[in-house]
This record gives sequence, structure tokens and C-alpha cells, in this order.
Amino acid sequence: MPTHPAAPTYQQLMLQLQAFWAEQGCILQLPFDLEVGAGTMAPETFLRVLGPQPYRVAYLQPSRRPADGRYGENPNRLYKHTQFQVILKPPPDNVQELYLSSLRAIGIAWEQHDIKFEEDNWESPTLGAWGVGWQVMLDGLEITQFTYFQQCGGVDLDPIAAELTYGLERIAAFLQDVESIYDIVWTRTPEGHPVTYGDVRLQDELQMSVYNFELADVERLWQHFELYEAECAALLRATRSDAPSGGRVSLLGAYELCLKCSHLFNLLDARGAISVTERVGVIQRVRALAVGIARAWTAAHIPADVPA
Amino acid sequence: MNHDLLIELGSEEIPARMVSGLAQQFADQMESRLAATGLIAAAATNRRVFWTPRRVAVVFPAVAQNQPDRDEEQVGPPARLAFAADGALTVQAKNFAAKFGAAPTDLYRVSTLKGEYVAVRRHHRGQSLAQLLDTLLPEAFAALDLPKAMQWQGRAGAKFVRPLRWLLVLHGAEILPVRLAGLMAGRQTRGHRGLSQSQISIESAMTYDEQLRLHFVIAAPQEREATLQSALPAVAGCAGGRHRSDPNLLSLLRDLTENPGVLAGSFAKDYLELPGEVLVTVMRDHQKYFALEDAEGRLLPGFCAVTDLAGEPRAEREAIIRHGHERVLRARFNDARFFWQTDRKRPLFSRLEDLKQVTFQARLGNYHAKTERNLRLAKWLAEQWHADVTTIAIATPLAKCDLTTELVKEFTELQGKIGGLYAEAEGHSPAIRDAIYFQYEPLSTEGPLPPSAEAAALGVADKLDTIAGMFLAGEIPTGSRDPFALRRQANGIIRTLLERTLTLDLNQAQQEAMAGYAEGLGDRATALSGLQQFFQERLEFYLREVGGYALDTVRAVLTVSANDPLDALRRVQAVTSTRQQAATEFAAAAAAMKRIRNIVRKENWTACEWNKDLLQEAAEGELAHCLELHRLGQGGSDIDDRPEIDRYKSELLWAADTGEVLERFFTTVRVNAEDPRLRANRLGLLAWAAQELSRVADFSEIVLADG
Repeated sequence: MPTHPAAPTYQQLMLQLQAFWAEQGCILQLPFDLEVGAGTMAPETFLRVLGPQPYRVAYLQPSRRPADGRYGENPNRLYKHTQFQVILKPPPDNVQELYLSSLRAIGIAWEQHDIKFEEDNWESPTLGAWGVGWQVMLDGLEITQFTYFQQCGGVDLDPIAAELTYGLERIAAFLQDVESIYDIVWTRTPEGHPVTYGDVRLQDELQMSVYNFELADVERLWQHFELYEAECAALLRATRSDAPSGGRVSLLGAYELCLKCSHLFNLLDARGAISVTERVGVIQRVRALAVGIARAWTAAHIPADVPA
Repeated sequence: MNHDLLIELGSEEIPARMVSGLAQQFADQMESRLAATGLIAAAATNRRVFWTPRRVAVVFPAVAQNQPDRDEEQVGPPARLAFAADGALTVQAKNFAAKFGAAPTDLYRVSTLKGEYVAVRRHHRGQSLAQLLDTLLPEAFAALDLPKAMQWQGRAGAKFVRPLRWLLVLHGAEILPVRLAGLMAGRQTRGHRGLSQSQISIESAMTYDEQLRLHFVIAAPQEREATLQSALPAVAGCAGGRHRSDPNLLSLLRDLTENPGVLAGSFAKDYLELPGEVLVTVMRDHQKYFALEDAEGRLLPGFCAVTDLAGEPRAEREAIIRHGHERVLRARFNDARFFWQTDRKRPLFSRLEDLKQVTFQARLGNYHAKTERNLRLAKWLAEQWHADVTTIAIATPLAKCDLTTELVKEFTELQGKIGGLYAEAEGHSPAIRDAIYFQYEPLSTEGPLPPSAEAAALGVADKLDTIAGMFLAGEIPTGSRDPFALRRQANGIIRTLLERTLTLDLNQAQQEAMAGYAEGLGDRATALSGLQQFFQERLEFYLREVGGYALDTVRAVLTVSANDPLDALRRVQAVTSTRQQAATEFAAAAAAMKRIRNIVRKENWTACEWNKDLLQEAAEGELAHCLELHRLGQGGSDIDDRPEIDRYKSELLWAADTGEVLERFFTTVRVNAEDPRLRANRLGLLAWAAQELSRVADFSEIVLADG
């Protein structure tokens, strides 16, 4: 149980981060409602970083990584962890200082700690995306990925976007000084009793580990993969002006199908159904879809919904 | 006035692995440009270079404020074209003057080697340092070779490794208002992130590092390194041990901090039940901690962490930071312990079948098939090296099983070691453990070697199988492309053979290795010749770079044969020692051999046949007699029980002595005789001499000192 009574609950942490970044002019978006492996994959990042429009957005994103599941037995690993994602496009000159202020907003007096920005360059082969940046280390704990996006879907970005990804469970466990993620105090009942992360999420971890590692039907996963892939490819073809659809565009639809493929790839991987050799090939297939969507999106000059 | 010139590029955190190189590059680029303008002496190397994660800076002492003025003579048209018959200036001459902004009256005559011309004197005002820097600084910046470039201002903006945030340029106490990457130079810099207020004003180039120190930034890397070098043993000593020294980690941490401090932390003793390899990997590679050990090098339950928060030590803050580091390490160790325990629920051998699911390489199948090939090859090697075949028969099937363990998936760099440790934990013999544990060794020219003949057999078999398979599949290293690290693996084989004194017929071994693969994978003859060349290059690399032997000696030996690396090493040693012992004779023999080679090559002569009755000159007879005696001596070499190197030496000494005989031959015998029978006989004799003299090394490869 937490030894730091002053530390925010998990829920307060989410609220404080959102409040801080809302103050900085970010749109507060909702978590994307499909399975994604990281906040980067949500269209609010993947598609918004493309094109010339300035954009600031922040959102929580449950991120599913089937292979990381541990049946709720490992105190540090989760199948589904929560990221808090911030996109600043273009990044202001004081972006690092803003980030450090956000730490103060959640109760981390970072000047009192050993804080280091250590090189960590991010790359997603499935999304054709990469950037350079750091993992932010606080007393030896990685609390944030800080990335200057350089390319997304194979497209060079202009302007550049800064992406901040906070690992919420880690930060909460650090602030509350608990040894297990499951002991994090999520919130308190009206009577003041703690409701823990385990109370809220343990079943999820357990049951989804059973599905991901044992029960997911490999053959049907492949079928799903191929169906989504085919439909995504069809949508991409339909965006061409010479297509029978007359160039009706649904790149967002195509992107959702692409994300489905990506998640199915992760599931197949967790089931041990993809050999090292096949891996490269399957990644290439998903990447081809993502790159096609990013190119079409950029070419279509889809305007921002929000005034710059 | 001459003043110190300070340039500081302020950046967001530059990766530790590249900051020192960037700082040196920047200083070099600026220095050569400043020297070219005449603002600093070309040989002025007393610059001071500083760097931290957030800055790269250089101070050049005594830089002039202005370039000196200079005059330049501009030569124009020849005098005969510049003046008309009446002595007046021609249109051409007037145009020339106008082009350089001079009045026609400024023209004067000059005499040159080509005749008389007109010229005009041009006065160049020296530019100011500020003007020059405005161009030089962006040029120097753009010339940096960036290990991984990024942009932060969009496509039209600057490129660097992280965003530049400020620019400090002072000449003495004066700001030089130059621009770079959208920044205007000023006197502002920043102190330590956590320990100082962010903006500070530098008074002059002279006070730069001292002012930074007051704001908790140690700008000189040497000083940060010295701090760490004294603090680490002190802190480790207080914690009851010593830190495990690691120069690479030390310089990484030096460049990851602006004000390094060391703190010791501890962990529960029972984690020491985990293998030391795992504990050290977690501490060093994942957390950048120095492991703590006792005087005998045994791990203690503690570590030293380098923080970027020296300055006034406050016990309370240090306690919080220590608590944090210990917490993270505990979580990492718990993970490792979980894997260590889970993995051992299944015996290693039961994982062999799982290797069918682990791909070795797309065209070369899975690790189960590789294990079978390795076994065959390792047994073949073990028999030649009188190693224990039973050990091989047990160790080889277990060797790759750790690839399916959770611990190796987490700590891939510990493959092999983990397998060895699991085998040991299951009660296998130390010999079996070692064979598995060291199978990937040696990974470098200094790394540990397989400690036994059994371990060597398994290690060499594994690497040989990989290399042969990749060559069959057409995955041959080219230039800087070597994705499967085949060069490193071949180096490993050669080092094992040479340093464990194991003989091997490489040609036969390569064929043996290829036989493990299915027919039709690739053309074997092509692969074999590729492999021979590849191994010869690796052997040459080893003998030159690691052994330190002369290139021509190495070539002379390998030209004769590179098939058994150990034998090649002995011949190289023999040649090296003979070259020193009998330098003059050796040189004479080398010169004679070059001559023979030239003649034989020119004539394309291969037959070593000759007839005694056709020997006419005394020198011919002497050579034939000398070679004949040598041939007879060779016959007895079966019972020669001297070490090879001594036999090679006496062979070489004989060859060196024969140099004289050859010299006499060339002075008195005309090879190109008119009688074709005589000519053929002499060529045959020389071809035979070349063959006899080149049993150990080909003397014609030797480079003679006087050319």
C-alpha cells in the first residue's frame, strides 16, 4: 500500500496531465476506440502529424501488446498499459521546459531527482515511421518517451511534430511508491477505501492473457488478417480518381482496417504463429498499407478541422 | 586587439555516444577556417574544447579583431595591346581598369616572364571577425558529419543531432552578433537544469568555464571524468567493496552528465542467487550502474549509480534518489528471477524440439537442423583435435536450446551463457557447461577463448556451419555490409585455431561444412572458392592487425598456402625471425626470386623438367647440385622431430643461402640461349628452383628496403 499519502491516485494523475496540457492549448481527445499497440498509432497522431497544419492534441491511450501479457502475475508487465500521448506540431522552442513543468503538475519535483534525457530513437517498421529523441529517466526509471518525429508512413514531415508519451502505470507506481502495478491506488471510495489497479484491471490481464496465449485460433486470426488487409487495399484503390467509385475517399476507414491488421499481427506473434522469417514479410504487408494511406492522405491535402 | 574567441552551441541533450566526436569535429572545422582567414596562426592548436550533454564549445586564444589589409596586383592585357601607337590607352586597357574599379591612370607596366603587361593594384580591406564568422560559423556547422541527423524546424530548417536552442559567441567580452540555425548569438547560456536558474550571462570568453562551474556545470569532460574516477572507488569503498571497472561505461556517463556524482545503492542478498552474468547485464547495460564487488571480484549486493546532481549533497535528497534507483533495479531483478525460475521448469533438452520453430536463416532452415549439422561437424573436429566426443555429443544438442528461454529473449546478449548456466544447474559436467557457455566466443580480438578443445570444437563448428551456409545462400559480406557478422565469426575461428594451437585443413573443413546442407542450395564450387578467399583475408587480417607481422611477410607465406592457419602462423614466425637473423642473404634470395618469377611468368613456363647432360656452365651445375641435395634432404624430413618452426627456419636459411648461388647463375648463365634445348633446360631448372625455394614462403612477395 502506498507509503506516500500525498501522491496522486491513478485517476488524479490522468486528470492532472490532461488539465496541464489543456492549459497549453492541446485539444483533449478521447482514447482511440480500436486496438492499438501505442498512442502513436491512433489517427490523432499518425494522420495529424502529416501535412502542414499546426496541431496540438493530448489523449490517454490504452495500448495493447499481447506478447507482454503475464496473466496478471508479473508486478511490472501488462498486456494493456496506458499511455498519455501529447503531440505538439510544431514543437515550441521551450518544449523540454514545458514537459518538465508537466512533471511538476503531477507532483514530481524533478529538480530534487536525478533526471536524464538519454538517447532513444523511436522506429516503427509497421508504420514506416521514425523519429529521434530520448527516454526520460527519473532516478533510473524510464517515465517518458520524447520523440521528434521525422517521418511517418514513409513521408518526410514538415513541420516536425514532438511526441511525448508518458507511461502512466510506471509513473503512478513511482509516485505512490508501490512495488506492484496492481497495488496502485486507482481512486478511493466515498468512504475513503482504496480501489486498486488490480481491482479494476486484473481480470482483464488474466483473461486476455488466456486468450492471447492459448485460445486465440491461429487459423481464424490469419483469415481475419487477410480479410482486413484485402478490404484496406480495396479502399486504397478506391481513392484513386480513375477508380469506379469515382475517387470517393475513406482513408480513415482504410486506416482503421490497417490497425486491425497490425493488432492481428501482434496476436499471431503472441501465439508464436509467426516465425522469424515470416515476420519480416508480414510487417512489410502492414507497412505497405500504412505507407499507402499516409501518401494518399498527404496527396489529398486533407484540411485540418481546427483553424491553425 | 587580440582576444579569446568563444563559441558555444547550446543544444537539447546530445546523445552521449556522439557528443565528444561532434565537439572535436566542430573545433577542427572552425580552426581550419579561422586559420585560412589569417585570424589565427595556422599552427595554433592551443584551443580548448568543451562539451556536456547540452553544449559543445570551443575557445581559441588570441584571435584578431580584423584581418590585416592586403594589396594584390591584378595583371591585365599585354602592353602591346594596352597602348596604341601614340602611347594612348586602348579601349581594351580602359575596360580592364574599369572592371576593377580603377582609373585609367592607375594602370602601370609590369614585366613578366611572358613579356610586358599592364596591371592595377587592388587594395583589400581586411574583414572583421564578426563579418567573417557570419559565414564561417554556418559553414563549419554544415560541414559536421552527423551520426544521425534530425530536423526540428521543418524541411527548410537546420540539421543537427538535437534541436539547437542558444548560441553564445564572445570575442573577449564583446558579443559577436552572428547567426546560426535561426539563432542570434548573445552572451546568454544555461546552467545546470536542476541546480541553477536557467539563464546566465557570460562576461567574457576568459570566464566561460569558471562561470559555468558556479552554475553547477563542469564544462571540461576531463574534469568530469576525473571526478568520477575518484568518486567511484570512494563511494564503493564506503559501501564495503569496489566498483567493477568499466572504461566504456565511465566515458558514457561522463557525457551523460553536466555535474556527475556517485551514489551507492544496495539490493537484497538473495538476488545473488541469480547468475552474475544476468545481474551485471541488468546493472551495466540496462541501468548504467557499476556492479559492486569484493576484493576477489565476487559480486556484492550493491551498485554505484552516477547521477547528474552533485553539488551540495543533501542527505534527504540523496536518500530519495537512492530509493528510486534501488526500486527500479529490484523490478528488473524480479523480472530476471521470474524468467530464471520459469525457464528451469523445463529441462533444456526438452526444448530441442522447439528449435524447429526458430528460424536460423530464411534459406538455411531452423535451429534444429543447424544443431544436427553442428553436431556432425563438431564431432569431426573433436576427432582431429583428440577432444572428448561424448562431451560434444551431449553439449551440441543442448547448445541452441536457450534460444527458446525467456531469459535469452529478454537478454539476447547472453545467449550461450544462459544455456551453459542452465546446463550446469541441471547437473551437467563443467566440460559440457563450458562448451555451451563459450560457443559464441571469441567475439573480439580480446574476448575470452573457448577454454577447452571440446568448447573449441563446438564453437568452430557452429561458426563454420553458419559461414558455409551463408556463402551457399549467396549471403556474402561486401564492403561495409555484413549483416550476419560473418567476418567476426571467421575471425573467431582463426583466433581459436591460432591461440589454442589447433591445426585444421580449412579446405576440407569447408567441404565438410557444406556437406551438411542440402544439394541445390547453391553452387558448391563457387562457394568454396569464395570461402577460401574469405578465410585467407581474415587470416591476413589477424596476422597483420593482431599478430603485428609485416604485410609482405604475411603475403609471402599466404601465397604459398593459407589452408592451415596454425601452419601459416608458424611459417610467418619463421620468416620474421630469419629476416632478422640473415638479413643480407634473405634480401639476395628475395631479389633472385623476383627475377626468377619474372622470367618464368613471362615465358608462362610451368614444367620443372631439366636434363643434367645439358648443364653447360659451372653456375648451372652448382644450382642443380644445390637443389638436388636439398631434395634428398627433404626425403628424410619424416623422421625430423624438431618443432615445425625450427624446420621452417632451417628451410628458410637454406633458401637464403641459395640466393648467392642464384646470383652467380644470373651473372654467368644466359637463360635466353640460342639453342632452344638449352633455353628450355634453363627455364625448367629455374622453375624447379622457384618451387623448391618457396616451400615456406614465396620470396618474390618480399618488399626490399632499397626498392
